[in-house]
Amino acid sequence: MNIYIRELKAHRKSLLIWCAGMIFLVGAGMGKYSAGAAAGDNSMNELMTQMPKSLQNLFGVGVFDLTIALDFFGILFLYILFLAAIHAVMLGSGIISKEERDRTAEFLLVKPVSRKKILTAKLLASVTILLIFFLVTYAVSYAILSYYSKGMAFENGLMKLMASFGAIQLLFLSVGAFFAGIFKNPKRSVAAGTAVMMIMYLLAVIADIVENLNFLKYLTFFKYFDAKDILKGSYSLVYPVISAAAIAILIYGAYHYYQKRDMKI
Amino acid sequence: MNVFRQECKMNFRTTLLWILVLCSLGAVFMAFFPIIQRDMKTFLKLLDNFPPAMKALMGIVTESFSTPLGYYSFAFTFVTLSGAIQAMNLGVGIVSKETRDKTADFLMTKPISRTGILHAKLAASVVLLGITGIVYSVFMGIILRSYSVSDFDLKKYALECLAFFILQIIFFAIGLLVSVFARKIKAVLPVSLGIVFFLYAISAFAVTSASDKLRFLTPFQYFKPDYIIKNGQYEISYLVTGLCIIIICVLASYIWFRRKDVHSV
Repeated sequence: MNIYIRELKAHRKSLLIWCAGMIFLVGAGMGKYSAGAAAGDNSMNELMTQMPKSLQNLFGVGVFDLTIALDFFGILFLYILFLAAIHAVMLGSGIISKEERDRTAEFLLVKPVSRKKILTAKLLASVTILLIFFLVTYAVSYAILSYYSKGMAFENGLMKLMASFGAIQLLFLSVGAFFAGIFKNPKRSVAAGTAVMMIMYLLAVIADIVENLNFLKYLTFFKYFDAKDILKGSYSLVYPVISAAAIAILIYGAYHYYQKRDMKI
Repeated sequence: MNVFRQECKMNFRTTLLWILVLCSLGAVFMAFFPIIQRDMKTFLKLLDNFPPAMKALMGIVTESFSTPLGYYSFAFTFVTLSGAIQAMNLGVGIVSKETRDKTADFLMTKPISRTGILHAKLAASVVLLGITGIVYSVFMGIILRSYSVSDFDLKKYALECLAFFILQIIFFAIGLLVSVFARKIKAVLPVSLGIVFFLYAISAFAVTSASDKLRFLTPFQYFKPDYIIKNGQYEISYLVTGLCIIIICVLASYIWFRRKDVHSV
């Protein structure tokens, strides 16, 4: 319990900064909607549907009606997910590896708590932090969408999107924790987690451009929660199942390796 | 000279890795050029009717998106993002690591002034970033050439490469200033990623038009590839702003670092 409280306190400042960043991103991004909606009427949508498939996917248009606030939010959503992923992966790897980075590992490990308990407390603290970040994002998105939607229903769609937001957070938290469990060098675990995240982001962009590389979609967590599929029906339930399995395996791996490995002192 | 050599040696592997990342990123994007080009014919006519906000978002030039260099401008956004992270990492890390790794005492007791230390570290960084820029530019130049039949404009490409280098130096300088001003930086990556993505988000979302004053806020907007390709030159006011940022940041770093209270072990 001490570790849990300690971690929450230690992350207070960075969480505040992240929340501010997210509020800014959502605010500025949707601010563009007002600019775009003013310029585009229905003729713009018509134009979009005539675009070649590869480019349509790239912009996320064609499927989306850009004059609807929620759909515009759907395009923005990949970037929101991206931000959440950076936050989660760095949190997951940092919260575990920072003991070794700051040379406090000795201090912590000689306390009468098992490594398993340490890890559990740290992961619980991470989940709490993610939850706060989640709620802030939800609240901001809700407020801004209700401002722009002008009475159109968006609550249901937003709820679905936010569910995938939470899933991405948990997925990348486990990726970070997994690498921190494996690697002795604290720098390396953060770098590895970030690299995996960046590669997945890039794969998501590529999967958008190139239609027939469908298998790519299974390689990147970002495509597990594609706003297009979520908002427009046709969402496959395979993805949540894979995600749950991935989280379970990664967290198990983190526990398994962290309990066995040497500490860098 | 010893400090210079030591820094080059220490950062050599990381630089090599970044060169690899940049080159593969560029190559992957260019690999999809034939697909895009095929779709482009039908698309070119439609693109003219895009609202300016949408066009600005991706940095598309209507006339030249179908040429390799024009398409490269689209990839350029992602490449500069990576390049910015590399430069920012270097800038934030190169001075702060002495305090972090508790080697500051060792270094400061050597018969070399603080100014001398900073000279050497700066020189090493510029050399490393220079090597990155040159290797990457030559590599991409070869790829671009192989795609273009006759219309490869070397001057414009060189301008884009130089813009990449200047951008890296801008981010390096900002990172340096941040690291000198901060009392202690525990981990480099969260700081640099946070700053870079924040600036990137401003560039991607808050900026709506070419005349937007917000453009001065983010270096990502200083060298628009579409402007370079269209006019074969930089936008002077932004170039000047960029250079001013470099000079101010570096000067402030010198002044501050000379009188900074460096904590010993």
